[in-house]
Amino acid sequence: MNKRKSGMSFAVKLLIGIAVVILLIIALFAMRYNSLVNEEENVKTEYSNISVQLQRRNDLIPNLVNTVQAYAAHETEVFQAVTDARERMMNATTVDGTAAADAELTTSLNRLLAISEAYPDLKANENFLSLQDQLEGTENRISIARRDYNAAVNIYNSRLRSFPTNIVASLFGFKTYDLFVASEGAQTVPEVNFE
Amino acid sequence: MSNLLKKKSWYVLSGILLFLLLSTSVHANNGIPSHTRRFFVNDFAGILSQDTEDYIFNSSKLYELKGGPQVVVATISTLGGASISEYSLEMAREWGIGSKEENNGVLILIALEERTIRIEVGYGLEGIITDSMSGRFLREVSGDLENEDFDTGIKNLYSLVINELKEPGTFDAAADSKDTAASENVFPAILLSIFIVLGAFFYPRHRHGGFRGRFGGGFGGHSGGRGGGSGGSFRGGGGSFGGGGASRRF
Repeated sequence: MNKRKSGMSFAVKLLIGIAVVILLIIALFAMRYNSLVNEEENVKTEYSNISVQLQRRNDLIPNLVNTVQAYAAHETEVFQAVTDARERMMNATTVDGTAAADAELTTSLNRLLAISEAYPDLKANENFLSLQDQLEGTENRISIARRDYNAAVNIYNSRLRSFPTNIVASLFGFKTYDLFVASEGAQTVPEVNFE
Repeated sequence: MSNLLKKKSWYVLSGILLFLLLSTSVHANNGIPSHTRRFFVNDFAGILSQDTEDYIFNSSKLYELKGGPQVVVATISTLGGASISEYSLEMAREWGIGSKEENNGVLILIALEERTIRIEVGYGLEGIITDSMSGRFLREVSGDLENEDFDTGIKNLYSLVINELKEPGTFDAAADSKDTAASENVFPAILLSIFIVLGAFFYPRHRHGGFRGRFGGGFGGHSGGRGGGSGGSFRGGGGSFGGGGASRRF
């Protein structure tokens, strides 16, 4: 009686053991899946932060160009460079393309702001100063959003490659994300000097 | 035998305690100093008079007590190679200026060696203190700063900023930022539970009374130590920043 009982309970124990292991594996996978979803959501949020700031800068540009034009109408080459870069920015679809256009736009806007050094009236214009502050603030926000996005991408991508999350990732078709980087040097944010 | 065990476990417990204390005080220190006990005014560069410090502290405290924004002033001698916007963002985020719900913090940071000043505006206040407004404020006080009259310059700048905020009395006093900061500290709580479990393991069972007495003493000492660092003083509510504001050289 006693023997039979312990024999049965061994089989039951074994089954329970297997069930527990399977449940644990499912639970582990579910946890990995959930954290992947969370981190991917994070990446998307951070990217939309970049987009918002890029759009904000695009909206500022016509006003800024008009203001500078009123004082320095013949600097046509700089205006054209800004307008072209803005156009490319708006047409960019990939992360790489957007990052490259962003760097180009930053450089050409730098040149636009530098014009003011040669025009004291422009430099003292309250509207220009305000636009310059807004542009600088937006450039700063872009660089922060870019950094936060890249940090989120690094966390997500490295988790995607780690075991056993990589199994979950390939099962559910998670993809790596590109970093928001332009060529070195071009991407440094201008520190505009008022002197 | 029992005495030896007791001694051993005491070492283990003290070790864990020490680790706990160290891990909370040293965590994520990227060259940003921790704020002073007065939180709202941190004159690391030593350029403000006591009067100005008191004025800033008392005004900001008034906002804090009414559940309003946190406006913090910090002076540092050098940025240590970072740009002012990087440094001030790190500082503002690390100190968690403003409440977590409203992100209503402002940091005025001045770096002496680089002769640069910045107003860093939290997410929640970007619509109230705009970038162009921050830029205008900085231009208004640039004369004082150029003449190295930091006392006047910073006091005026601070006043310009808080004048844009609502009167301290009009905020919803129910907004309490303190409890959110406590719930974030899960890590020490986990360590503490490990410490309790370990303690239960290492202690001989028949000396239960003794264990409790000792444990109580150890725990009390620990929380007392932390209390000395933060109890009664002010701190950030976990506000977030996205780069709003303006910088200027002087």
